[in-house]
Amino acid sequence: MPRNSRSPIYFIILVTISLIVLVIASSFPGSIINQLSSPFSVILEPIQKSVLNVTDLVRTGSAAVFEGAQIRRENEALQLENATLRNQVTQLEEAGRQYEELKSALQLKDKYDRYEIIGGRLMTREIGDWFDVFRIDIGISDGLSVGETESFAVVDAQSRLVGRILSTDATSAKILPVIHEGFSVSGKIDSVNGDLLRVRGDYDLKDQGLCMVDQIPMTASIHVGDILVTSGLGGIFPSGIEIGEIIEIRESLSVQNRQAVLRPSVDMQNVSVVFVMKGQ
Amino acid sequence: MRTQQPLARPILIYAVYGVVFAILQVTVLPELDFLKVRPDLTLILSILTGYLFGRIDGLFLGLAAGFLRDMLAGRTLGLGMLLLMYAALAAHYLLRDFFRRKTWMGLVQIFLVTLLYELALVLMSWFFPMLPDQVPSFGQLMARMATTMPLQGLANVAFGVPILLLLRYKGPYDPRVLDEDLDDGSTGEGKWRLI
Repeated sequence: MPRNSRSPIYFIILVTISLIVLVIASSFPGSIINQLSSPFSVILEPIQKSVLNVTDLVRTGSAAVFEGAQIRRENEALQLENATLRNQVTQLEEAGRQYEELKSALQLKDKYDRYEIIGGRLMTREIGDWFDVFRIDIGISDGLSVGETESFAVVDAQSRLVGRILSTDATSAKILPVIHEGFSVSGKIDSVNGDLLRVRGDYDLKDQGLCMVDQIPMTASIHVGDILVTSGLGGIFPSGIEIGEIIEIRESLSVQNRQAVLRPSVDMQNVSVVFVMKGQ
Repeated sequence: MRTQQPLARPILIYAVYGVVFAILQVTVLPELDFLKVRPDLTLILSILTGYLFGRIDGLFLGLAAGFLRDMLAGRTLGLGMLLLMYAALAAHYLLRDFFRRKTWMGLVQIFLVTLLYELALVLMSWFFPMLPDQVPSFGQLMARMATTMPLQGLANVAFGVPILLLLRYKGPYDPRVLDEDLDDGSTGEGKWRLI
């Protein structure tokens, strides 16, 4: 009897030690341990996509029922707008052709030409503290492989910063969102010779969907309403990606320790499609 | 001696409930904007399994649900497994003699173990800060937990009611067996020990 009652304790201790080793091993960037989830990702992906499709259908259906009259009015307005836009598109296509010719001729370098843009769908969202990363449906099979010094910037359709890739398995990748307390990026004020500063997630602010700005130079002129963009330092994030807007300046006793609160431009709650910027 | 029930049913039911709850938690619940606090379905499932069906069922269900949690939303692999395994074990051992596995006391157990779980997260955030130069104070973390915990606990208890009924009446074991005797070897403990 004593042998029987003790054995589960030994088992629990063994499992605990194994799991602690697993946690440590998988926390290294680019750890191969993270690919252990690959077979399960492959199995679960169709189920998750089905659930997401059903959720979308229900949301669209309920919106159609409850907002029918409004949708009809919007539809009429959109048809009118559509006709106008179609006309504009025709003109812009011609302008685009001329621009491409001019660009080739002058060998202009688009600032994101060095990056391959890969689109992905947001599959899962955060559960709570420590389980607070997003997951998208592209992974190693799409050419995304995170290393110790390599990661990729993630933006939305309007090129606003969503976060960076944290880890990947065969068919999915995890994104560390910009409001996460572990996220940090070198930013600058979006102006000529804008000052460099750091944008990071914060324990208290993340619940409100906000970020902290610190390491603000003493000489920097920073105001509420300023737009911050990525500086390009660090190698992961290309320069010029919009991060967000300053909504509060926190003056402390010394000017060296000034902080500011930033509202990210991206709408984290409603983003469903993201784009990974893969350096070539 | 009572005939042992086949093992396939509990494994199948745990697998289905684990996968369904884990996926609902990360896909459907975030879409429900009216929920200011999202219930933690896989945590509730682990707690109730440990409470209703014993430590062995709780341990394995906690590990499986934790793996799904790590895979779907975790920063690393293993942490969710560790936390949910201990949540299930805590639900089994905590106030065991006082509750005597009375079904509805499972809701109290959900609140208590949610509190322990949140406390564990606070300690981890304190010991292992994500940015080395940004170490939150213990007081700051506890204050944040004090703000969020009551609502989180109540949300878990509220969503725990249907899950409790599901496990009790459409769960891994025949409800008649549960009504008779929980510790006679027909459910979790005895079954796994036999194997």
